[in-house]
Amino acid sequence: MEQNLRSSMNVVHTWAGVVVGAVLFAVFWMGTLSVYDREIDRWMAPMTRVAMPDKPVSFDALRGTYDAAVTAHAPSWTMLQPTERQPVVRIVYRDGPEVLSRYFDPVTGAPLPDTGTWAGTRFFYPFHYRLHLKAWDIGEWLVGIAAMTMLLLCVSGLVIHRKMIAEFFTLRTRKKSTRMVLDLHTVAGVLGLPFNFMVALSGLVILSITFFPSGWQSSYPNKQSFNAEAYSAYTRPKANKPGTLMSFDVLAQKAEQMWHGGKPWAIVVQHPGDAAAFVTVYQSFDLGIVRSAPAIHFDAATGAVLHQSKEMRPIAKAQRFISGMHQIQFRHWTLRALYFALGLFGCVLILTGFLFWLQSRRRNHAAGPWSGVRVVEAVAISSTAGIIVASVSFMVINRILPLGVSFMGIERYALEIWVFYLVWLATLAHAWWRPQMAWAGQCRAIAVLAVLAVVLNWMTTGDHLLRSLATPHLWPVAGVDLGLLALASGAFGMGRWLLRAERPIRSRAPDLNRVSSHA
Amino acid sequence: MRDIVYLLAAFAMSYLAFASFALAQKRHWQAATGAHDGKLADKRVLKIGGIVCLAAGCAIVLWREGVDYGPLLWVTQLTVAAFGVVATLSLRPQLLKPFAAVLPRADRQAFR
Amino acid sequence: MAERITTDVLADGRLTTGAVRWWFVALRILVIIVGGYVTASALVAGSARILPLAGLVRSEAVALASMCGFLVYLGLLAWGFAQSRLINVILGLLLMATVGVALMLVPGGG
Repeated sequence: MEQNLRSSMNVVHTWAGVVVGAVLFAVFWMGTLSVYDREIDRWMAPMTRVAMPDKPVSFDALRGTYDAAVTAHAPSWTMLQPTERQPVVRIVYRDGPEVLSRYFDPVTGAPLPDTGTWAGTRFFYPFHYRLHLKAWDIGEWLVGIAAMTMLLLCVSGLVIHRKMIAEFFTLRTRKKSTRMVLDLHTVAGVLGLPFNFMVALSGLVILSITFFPSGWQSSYPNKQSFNAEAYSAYTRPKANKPGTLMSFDVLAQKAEQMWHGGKPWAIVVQHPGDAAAFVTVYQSFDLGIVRSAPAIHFDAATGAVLHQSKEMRPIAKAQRFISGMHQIQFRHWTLRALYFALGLFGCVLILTGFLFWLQSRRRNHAAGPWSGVRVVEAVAISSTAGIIVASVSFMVINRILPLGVSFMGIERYALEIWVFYLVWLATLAHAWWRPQMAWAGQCRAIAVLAVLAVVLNWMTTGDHLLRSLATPHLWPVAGVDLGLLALASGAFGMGRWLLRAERPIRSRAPDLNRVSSHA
Repeated sequence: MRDIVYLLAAFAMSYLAFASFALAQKRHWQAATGAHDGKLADKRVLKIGGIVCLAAGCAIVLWREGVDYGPLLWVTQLTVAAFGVVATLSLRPQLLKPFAAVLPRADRQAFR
Repeated sequence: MAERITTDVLADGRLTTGAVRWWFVALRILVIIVGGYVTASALVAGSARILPLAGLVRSEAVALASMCGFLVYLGLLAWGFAQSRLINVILGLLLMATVGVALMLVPGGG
């Protein structure tokens, strides 16, 4: 019976890994990049590389943008104070179908030039949690399915290797053996198990109300009533009559008093310009792990307090804590670096899983282009090495395209995204057409492009490494440059190792009956 | 600045803990010391020492970071330390030789 | 073309030299994945309604049940794939789903 369990879990692990591996790597890779999404923003939008101001910005100073939002009939208007990781003022409101995100200098209040890029926070991060597929939330559901499969992969992996857990140091990587890939996969899996399991489960918990609607549906008439009771969410409908707005700074002052000194960080106005408009003042999200901030809602015209968020009850707070463990909005540089490292280990886990599967079903020399192995191999290469090539290309093209440019009606930010997807598609074609050289070739492409990105940053902004390391407010730029260089050397080394590892296998006759599971 | 020193100390504790657990095994002991003369480490001392190091690292982290960030930070740095030991053992096991040199050998307790 | 999957362990009943009808395997997978989700949802709904009877505030019960839903679903997936007979999976899921629905119908719940 025990042997049956292990072999059935082996089958589950293998098939689940092959089927969702591509999506899972994309989610893990984009998630790892998202750890430093705001730093990538600084790198890709050089006009936002400013120092933190000494004092907070007056909310009323940007009243002009609020009036613009009213004219545009925007459903809401948001203003964010500068933070350490995003030292510029940010205004967000919807103009028709488009979401406008504008940055302002935190000292002078002058508008900064349009960034023309979606960079980390608007491209990499949303890619991570919904694959940029917004219709019917299909992207979120796909990511959710991938996350559930990740949990199943963790459990099945544990069952397969449970004898090894006690001696996991024995699973050291053997450099000269082709079983190094399996060893690396097992080590990454066993050591990374707490983190990978936590990150997948916490990611799901963020959307627990979306993924298990049966919970609130059995007890509440709608989602809003649940959110109101659990999280002190507040809303009121439009009056469809024009209304006035009092001073933001007065409201922010009032909120600070009510919070006994807690600093206001964000202001959101719902129904701008309407008689029923209300202003919500939030504290910062980076104060602790809990993914929530105290909020006070004021009437826009009179400033009367409509609602103050209450202290959450324990289980609601736990949900926000677990969410916070995933979204890491808190201010803790060491923890952030550790998450980045462990995210990379997760990427290595998925990559070595693919490599091991491909090695144990070695390509038959006679296998046609439509054979299962060939298809999986092409998908595996493009979804791992390929997506990294595309990501670095995204950053390279960002440095090449001039600001304000557009082509055939496509705006600059969309052009960057086009390049990302076209490069990604090209890696798929390359991997399918030339599978033998694809791994090493794409690794080398990553190395070249990453170095090119660092050089282009120097050429286009003048913030080379020596300068950015010496200037505190440019440390995010230095970090991204150093990360790119580390990626380049890692990819270069990986490419060389892959070339060495491939040679003995390709020269042997294909053996499709090789060990396909780790006994 | 002080925080970095404490965190490095906690990381060193975690690293030593995992190194101890690994060196309790024959294969890794021989890889680290390069000696195949059958003299192994005192396993009990290594395992207990490892647990003490783990506890020490945990205590340092919880003391400096509090109950909010502490557990999360401890678990994540633990994982990275474990990866570090695995990397050391597979790439440069000789780096652990100085550590192995100060550990008590099993044969010295033979007369117990 | 449909590839033959040689998976003795997932097989049920009659087998011929290791080969399995592919549609049977597909059916198994569908039952476990979809049936498991439906059953987990039923258990989430049921516990969300019954936990308030144990003194938990209604919104807390819903939050707790929804979060635990993922672990319940994971358990059902692992259990389902570990079973050697499809009929066991179907009966087990039906039983647990019925429990969930029954808990939902308990009067005086949240």
